[in-house]
Amino acid sequence: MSAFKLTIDGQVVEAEPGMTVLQAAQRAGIFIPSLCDHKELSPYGACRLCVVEIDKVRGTPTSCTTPAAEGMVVRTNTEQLQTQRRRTLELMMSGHPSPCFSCDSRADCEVERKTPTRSGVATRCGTCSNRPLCGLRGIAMGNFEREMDLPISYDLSKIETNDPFIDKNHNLCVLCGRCFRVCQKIHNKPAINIVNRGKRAKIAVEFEKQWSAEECKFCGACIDECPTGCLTDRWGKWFGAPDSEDKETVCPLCKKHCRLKLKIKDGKVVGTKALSLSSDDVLCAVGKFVFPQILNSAGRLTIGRIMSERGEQIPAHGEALADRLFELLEENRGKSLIVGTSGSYYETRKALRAMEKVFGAKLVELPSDAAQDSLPSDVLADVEAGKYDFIFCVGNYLSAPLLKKAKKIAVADFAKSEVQELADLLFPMAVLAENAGTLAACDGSKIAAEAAVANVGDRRPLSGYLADVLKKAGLNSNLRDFDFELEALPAGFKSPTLDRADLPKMYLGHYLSDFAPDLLLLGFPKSPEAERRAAAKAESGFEILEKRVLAPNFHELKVAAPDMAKHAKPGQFAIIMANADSERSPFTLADWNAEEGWVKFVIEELGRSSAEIGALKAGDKLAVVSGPLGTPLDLNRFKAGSSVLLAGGCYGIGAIYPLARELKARGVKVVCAIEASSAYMLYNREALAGVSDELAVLTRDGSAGKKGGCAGFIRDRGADFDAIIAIGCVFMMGQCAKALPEREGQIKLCALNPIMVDGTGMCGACRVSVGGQTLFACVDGPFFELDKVDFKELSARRNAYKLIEIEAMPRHIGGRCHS
Amino acid sequence: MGTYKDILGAYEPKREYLVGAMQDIQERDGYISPQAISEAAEYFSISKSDIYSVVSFYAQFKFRKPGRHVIKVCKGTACHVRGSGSLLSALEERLKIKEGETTPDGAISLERVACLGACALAPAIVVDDKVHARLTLPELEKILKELK
Repeated sequence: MSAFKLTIDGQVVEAEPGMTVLQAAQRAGIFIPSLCDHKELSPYGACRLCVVEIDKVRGTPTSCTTPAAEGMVVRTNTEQLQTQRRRTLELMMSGHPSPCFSCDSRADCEVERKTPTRSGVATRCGTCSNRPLCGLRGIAMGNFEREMDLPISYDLSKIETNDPFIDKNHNLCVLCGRCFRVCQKIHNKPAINIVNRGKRAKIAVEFEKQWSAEECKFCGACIDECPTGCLTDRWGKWFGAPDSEDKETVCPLCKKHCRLKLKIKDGKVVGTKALSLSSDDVLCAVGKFVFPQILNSAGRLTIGRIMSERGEQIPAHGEALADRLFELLEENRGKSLIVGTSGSYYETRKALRAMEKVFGAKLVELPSDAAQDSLPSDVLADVEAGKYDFIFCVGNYLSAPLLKKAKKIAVADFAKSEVQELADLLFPMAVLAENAGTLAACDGSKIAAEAAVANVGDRRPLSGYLADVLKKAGLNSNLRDFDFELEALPAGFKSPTLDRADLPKMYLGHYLSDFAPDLLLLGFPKSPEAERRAAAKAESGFEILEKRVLAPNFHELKVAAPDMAKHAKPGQFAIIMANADSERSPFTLADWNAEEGWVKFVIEELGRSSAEIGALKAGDKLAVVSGPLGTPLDLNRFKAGSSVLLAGGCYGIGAIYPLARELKARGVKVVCAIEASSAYMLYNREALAGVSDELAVLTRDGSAGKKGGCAGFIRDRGADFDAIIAIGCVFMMGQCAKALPEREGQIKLCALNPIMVDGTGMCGACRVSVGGQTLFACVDGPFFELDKVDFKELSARRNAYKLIEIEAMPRHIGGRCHS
Repeated sequence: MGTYKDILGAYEPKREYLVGAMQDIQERDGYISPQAISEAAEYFSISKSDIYSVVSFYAQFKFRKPGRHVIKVCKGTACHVRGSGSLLSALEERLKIKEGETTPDGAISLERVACLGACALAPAIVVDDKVHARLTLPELEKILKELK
C-alpha cells in the first residue's frame, strides 16, 4: 500500500498506511489536544480529548485510535467537539486540584511567582513541580474559562510519599494509563496498573501496597512519561523543564555500563533518562535516581588540600596538587601502595599502571563497589605490618586505622569522608558525567563515556591529574606501553535492572545511601557516619509532643519549650532548626501554655527547611528552637469596644489565632477573615470561631465560603474596622495592602518573617523597606505598617534565593527527611 | 486455605480464563487473598498488578475474609423508601462495625446491596442466602439473637 489522501478541517492531507487520524493531523501540523497518546506506545483512547467528527462515522471517535483511511473527511474543532472536550476536562478537573484556574488573581500571582512554590505536595498548579511541563495545564488553559460546576473530589488521602524516589499524588492523575503501559512495554509484566473503578480508580500495585513491597524496579520510566504531576522524581522535580535531554554518557556505577541520556538544566545534571522505552535500554534505580544525586550532593569535595609542615591542611589548586603527588611518590620510591579501582575509566587505570612502574609502587585495583579495607589478604598484611610508607588511595576504600600505618597519605575522591582529615594531599575528583573516558562494553570492547557538564572548584578528571604527575616523571601522555585488555562482563553477572537485590550498594568506598537516602527504604546499608549522626540527633534537642497535619503541606507542631512558653507574647516568633546543620528559619508562635510548658507552631512546607521539619513526627526532636524573638504586638493600642479585622492566609490562619484570643479577652470586637486556595486547604476554623465575633471564610475557587481572598473582604468591609492586621504570604499581604480603605487613624499592620540568619539584628538578611526606611524584621518586626511596606522589593529579595533553594531541596524518605 | 492449584488447574493458562478462575476461588474461600493473586499470576504468566486490576474492577470480588454469617441490607429504591436506612444504622450500631466490614470475632459481615429484586417485599435483608421480607426493628433483633 502507498500513501493516501484524506481531508482534515478542509485541508487535504497525506498519510501513510498504518497511521491514525491523530498522527495524520500531527504530520500536517493540525493540533488536536491529547494526553494519553504516546509515540512509543500503542493507541489507548483513555483521555478522550482527541475526539473528532468523521463523515459517515457515528459519534465522535478518538482520533488516536482511529486508523486514517483514503478519502476520510475529518473535523477536529467544531463547536460540539469543543463543548465535549470542555466537559471531559471539567470531569478531570473535578478530581484534579484546580483552584488556580478559577482564581481571579492567577495572572498576577504567576507574574510574581514565576516558578511554582516548592511545597511538600501539589495542591494546585502554583505548588506543582510539574507546572512548567504539564500537558493537562496546556490544554486546560486554552479551554477552561468557565467556573466549575462539579464538586471537588480531591483530598489528602490520595497523596503518597512512602516509597523511595517517587512522590505519588493521585489527586493529579487523569488515568491516561501512560505509566503502566510504559511499565508493560519495558518490563513485560507491569508492576503497576489501574486498580479499582470509577472515582476510586488509581495507579497502584496489587492491594495498593507500597511499590517497594512489590515488583517495581524503580526504573523511573513512568515518571518521565506522566503528563501531570502525579508521579514525580522527589529529588529532581523542582528544577523545572531541562534545557536539554539529548546528551548521552555511560553510567560507571556498576559493571554493566549502561548508556543513558542526561537531563541538563543550567549546566547541572538534574536527572537521567533511558535511551528509549525498551527493555534493552532500561535503567536501574541507581542509574535513574542516584546518578544525578551523587553529582549534586552537598557531600561533594570541591577544594584540594595539602598538609603543611605545621600539620594543617591548606587549600591548594592545580599544579601544586600534581607537584605534591609527584614528590610523595618520588620520596617513597619502592615503598608506595596505590589503591585504585577497576570501575575507573581506562585512561585512569592506565595512568595508575604507569605510576606503578615508574615509581616502583604496588598497585591494587578493587571492584568499584568493594567495601572498605577489602584489600587482598597479602597486601592487607603488608599494610598492617607498615611495609608501605606512602599510600595513595583513589576513593574511600581504606579506613583511618589502616591509612595511619603509612607515614604519608594521599587521597583522591569525589566526596567527603572522615579519613580525609588525615591526608597529606587531597585531590577533588570529577565523577560520572563530569569527565570523559573509556569504559568496557559487555564484550570487553571500548565504549566512550562523554562529559556533559563543567567542573566546579578544583575538581578535575583524575586521569588528567595523573597525566600531569607522569609528565613530571618524563612520560608522554599516550602511555601506549601500558595498554591492556578491558574485562568483559563476567558470566554470572546479575543485572540490577532485573532485580533490585543486585543494585550496587557502594561506589569508590562510599555508601550510595549517603547520596540518596531513599535507598535505605530498599534495604540498602547505612554508612557508619550516618548512623553516628542519627544517634547524636536523637540525644539532644526539643521534643515534639504532638504533630498534626492540618491541611496538605500544613503541619501543627506542639513542642516542649517551658522557658519560651513562660515569656511568649502574641505576635512573637521563634527560630527553628530541624537538624544541627539546617537553615535557621523563623516561625510565628501559634499558641503556648506556660503551665504545661509547650509552644505550638503552624509550619507550611515550602522549601528545604520547612520540609525537614514537616518530615518529623511526635517523639522526634528539633535541634534548635530559640525564642521568643521579635517585638510583640502592642495590645494596648487596641481599646476595648473597638473593632479589629484579622486577615490570615496560609500559615497566617494559624498565626492570627493567638492575636484573636488575646484581643477578644480584652473586649475588642474581633472579626477573622481566612483565605485558602480551596476548601481542602482550610484549617483552624473551629478554633478561630471560638475566639472571634465573626469568621469569614474565603476560597480562591469558591469551594467553601465566598469566592475570592482577604483583599476582596478588606475592599468591601475594611472601612468598618478600627484596625486591620494581615498575616500570610507576601503576595497575599501585598494584595491586602492595595485594598486598604482611606480611613484616618486606622491601625494597619502586617507580620513579616523573611529569610533570617541570627534573628537578633546582626546579619541584615531580613531587611525590609517600610515607608522609605530600612528596618530589620527580626528585631523591628515582625509587625510593620501594612500600607508602608515595599512589597515589590520584599518579593524580589525572596526570589533572589530561588535557585539555591531548589538545589537545597531535601531528599525525603518515607515522608521523612534524612538529608 | 492451602493451595489454589486444583482450581487454577481446571483452566487453560490463558488470560481469558482469569475471571472464571478467580470466581471459583471466591466461591470456595469467600474472598481473594494475596496468595491467590500470587499463584494465579504465576499460573497465567501475567503480573500481580494486572490481576488485581481486573479483579478490583468488579464489586463482586472481596479482598477480606468474610464473616461466618453475611447480612446484606438492600438499599434499592423501594427498600430505601420503606426505611432500610434505619435497618442498616441499627445493624451498624448493634454490630459496632460499618457496612463493608466484619466483626472482629469473624462472626458477621455487613454488606449493602443495590437491589435484591424483591421490591414487593421491601424493606428486605438477606442473611446467609435467606431473604427476610418486610422487616421491622424488633424482627431484626430476633435475627441477630439467633445468629449469635
